[in-house]
Amino acid sequence: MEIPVIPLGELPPCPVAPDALQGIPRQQTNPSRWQGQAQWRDFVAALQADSVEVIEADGMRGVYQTDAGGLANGLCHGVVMAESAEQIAILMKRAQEFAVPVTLRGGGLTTEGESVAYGGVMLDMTGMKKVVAVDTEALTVRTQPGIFWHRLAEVLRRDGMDYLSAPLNLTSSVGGTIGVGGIDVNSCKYGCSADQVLSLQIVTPTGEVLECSDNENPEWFERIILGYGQFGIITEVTLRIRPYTPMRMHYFYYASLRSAIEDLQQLDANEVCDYSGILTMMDKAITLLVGFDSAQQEKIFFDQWRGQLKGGSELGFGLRLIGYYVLHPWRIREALFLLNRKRDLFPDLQPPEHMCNGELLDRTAVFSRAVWKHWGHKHMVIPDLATNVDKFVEAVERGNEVCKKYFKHYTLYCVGIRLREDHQAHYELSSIPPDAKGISYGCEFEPMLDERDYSRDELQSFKNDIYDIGVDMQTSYYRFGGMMKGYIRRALGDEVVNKHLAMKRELDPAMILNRDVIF
Amino acid sequence: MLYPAEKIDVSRCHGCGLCAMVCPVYQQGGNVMRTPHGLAKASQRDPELVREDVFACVLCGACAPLCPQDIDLMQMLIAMRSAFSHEPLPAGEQGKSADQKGRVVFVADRALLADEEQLDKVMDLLGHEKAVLASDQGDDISEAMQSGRQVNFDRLHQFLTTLQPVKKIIISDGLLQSVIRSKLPQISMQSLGQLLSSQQAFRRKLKASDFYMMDSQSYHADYQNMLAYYDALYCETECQLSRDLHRLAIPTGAHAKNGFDSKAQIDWLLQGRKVKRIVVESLADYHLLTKHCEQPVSYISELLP
Repeated sequence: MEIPVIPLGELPPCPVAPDALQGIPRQQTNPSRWQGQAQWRDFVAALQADSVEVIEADGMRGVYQTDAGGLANGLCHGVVMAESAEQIAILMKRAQEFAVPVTLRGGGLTTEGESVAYGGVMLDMTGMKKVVAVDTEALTVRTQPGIFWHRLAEVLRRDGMDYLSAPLNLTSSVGGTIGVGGIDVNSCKYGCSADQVLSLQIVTPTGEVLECSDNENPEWFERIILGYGQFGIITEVTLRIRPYTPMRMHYFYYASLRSAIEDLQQLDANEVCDYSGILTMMDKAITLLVGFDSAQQEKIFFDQWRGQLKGGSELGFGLRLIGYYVLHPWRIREALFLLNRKRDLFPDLQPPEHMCNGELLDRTAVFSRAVWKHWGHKHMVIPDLATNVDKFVEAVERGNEVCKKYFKHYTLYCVGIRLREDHQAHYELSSIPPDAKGISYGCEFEPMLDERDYSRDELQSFKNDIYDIGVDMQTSYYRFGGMMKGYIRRALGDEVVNKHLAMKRELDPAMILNRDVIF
Repeated sequence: MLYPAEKIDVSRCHGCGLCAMVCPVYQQGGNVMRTPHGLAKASQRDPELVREDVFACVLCGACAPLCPQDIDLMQMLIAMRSAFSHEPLPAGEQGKSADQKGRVVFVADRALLADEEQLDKVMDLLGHEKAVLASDQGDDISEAMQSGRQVNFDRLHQFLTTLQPVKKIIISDGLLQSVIRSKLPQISMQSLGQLLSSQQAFRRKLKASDFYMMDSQSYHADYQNMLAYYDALYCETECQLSRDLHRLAIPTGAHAKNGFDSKAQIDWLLQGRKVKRIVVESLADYHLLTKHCEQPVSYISELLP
């Protein structure tokens, strides 16, 4: 094929034919920038007349240029700092009137560009981050949605309280988490963070302020929880809380993913522990994390369950690994990687300043830094699969093979998520698989990208390969918005997607709220 | 210049936001542009864009130990401030280094230097160390860093030269402590707070109902050592410490300029705590707390005979 010489100043037609990538249908992964500059100035003037400030300074807009994934880049026209439900209601009314997209952002921890604005308004919800009230008798907290989970933990701790479950990365905001789920190592017991919500105050896409819960405006409650920000903006949340307890953590080591998952599922099914999860270094060193809130529960585990686990101690597993690499000396680099990784990572999961009598005092603080220190990168690619109990082993094993195909080093992170029967309606069009009963499982596939630079195409191909497994196995995903939204119909089917699209069109006539995240 | 602006590698910031999580300015104002994260991200686009916001930082140093990229955030913030300063610091008077050879010297913070009575009391308490007041206090350098004026290399060199032959430095200025630590790592150094609070006479008087306010700048300047030190202090006395869940010292914002609400910050520090007395390491914190708190406040030296 001859590629023509391109004269300066002209952009010729793309020489690559649309079907050049045989067998791979081409999909637009990055949304185009909103082109409605014509009405932008009128929109800003209308907001200013309503006393809503729009910040158009370059520096401020630049801060929101990308998200934690670092692969999607877009620039909003202006930023609005969230202040109150009333202010947001005015913004939404004007945005509907002028058809200006409004993108919400909390901690900006999306990986597929869901919190990146491709033009229009960036509504920074972290402007609303006050704790309204803590009720230590009713065990509830009322808070604004832009607060980081870390700050919420700080406030609750002053009253000897803690949240039930929150994402391990605590710079996530409460509102953003509720919109997508929020998985913790105690989700096997408490479910996802979104299931801790008792009630919400929301602003609808057309600018109404409503209170909703299981009993009040329940149809709104159903749509907002795990709604990927499509149907409204959370402006206040009431969450369940609990008395604070330090955590007793134990690690068991496996050489087989299947064995570790079977043990994890056995512990979860029998409600043996308060915290559980699997963290791996490739498929060579697989660690089952088992944690407890009380010494009593811990004792029951060691008396009745420890003997049934197939996992070994650190020493036993270490000796076994040494044996393996003695017999496979050409894999010495891999052995060194495992050794170095363990040396770097494990102390940060149990730092002495956060330990007391063998108990981890502040998992909130420990995990959030460890996540960024050991898995953080300018690009974060974390495709995932969420399945019912029966499909999980196969999904993880197939995903593991995909990881091996693309990367030398990677981590798998698996957790169980307890489901609420009464919240089935919340789970529609979400990461919770429709065929899961009682408990579902999620696995994140996280490559380590430090070895070399990867092109966007390589990373996208990796994500596609993981999500193709999901389509094949008819499961769900956690990160299906933004750049991965091409998979939504394939995975969840036309019927569900069309139902939600119809609701979206009715509730958000100009289709402006978090555009291109799902619809 | 103290830290050359061209050596700040803001491109290493991934935007994780951990610094914002513990930033008192962000917690109060909610403006991401005033966090190290926001400043680094905006600088990646155009360094000029942070001209105003960089001066909102209270330089408490809480962000620095938390950065997973190990960016020296204090260095970044100070360098950014001085890059926008048009008011360089004049060269000071030459200190006499010969006088200090082999001695233990005390480098006092500005608030202490201004309070003759307290300074005398502190020097008495340092008697057992045979400490003398440093011939060059470097308080103009500290003030320049705090206010964002450029510290020229000659002045800094002059100050450090006077300290080079000393045996040990005792210091109550956290900002200077981090500079000296990075430039003269071979010299033994201890914060005044640590030195005084390690005395048994002091520890005997500290109770579980006391709220002990660390000097946040000193604490974060030597974070790893301070963690262990204050853990031990807590274990022995059970006093309440001004630390957050990350084991970082919550600052009062005593040195803050540009509209930081110190009263709101003190309210947050004391929220939910049952405190009968507040003991402070920093005289600047002492002045602020006596103004805003109902509880009695004691400067650290007051608990020692």
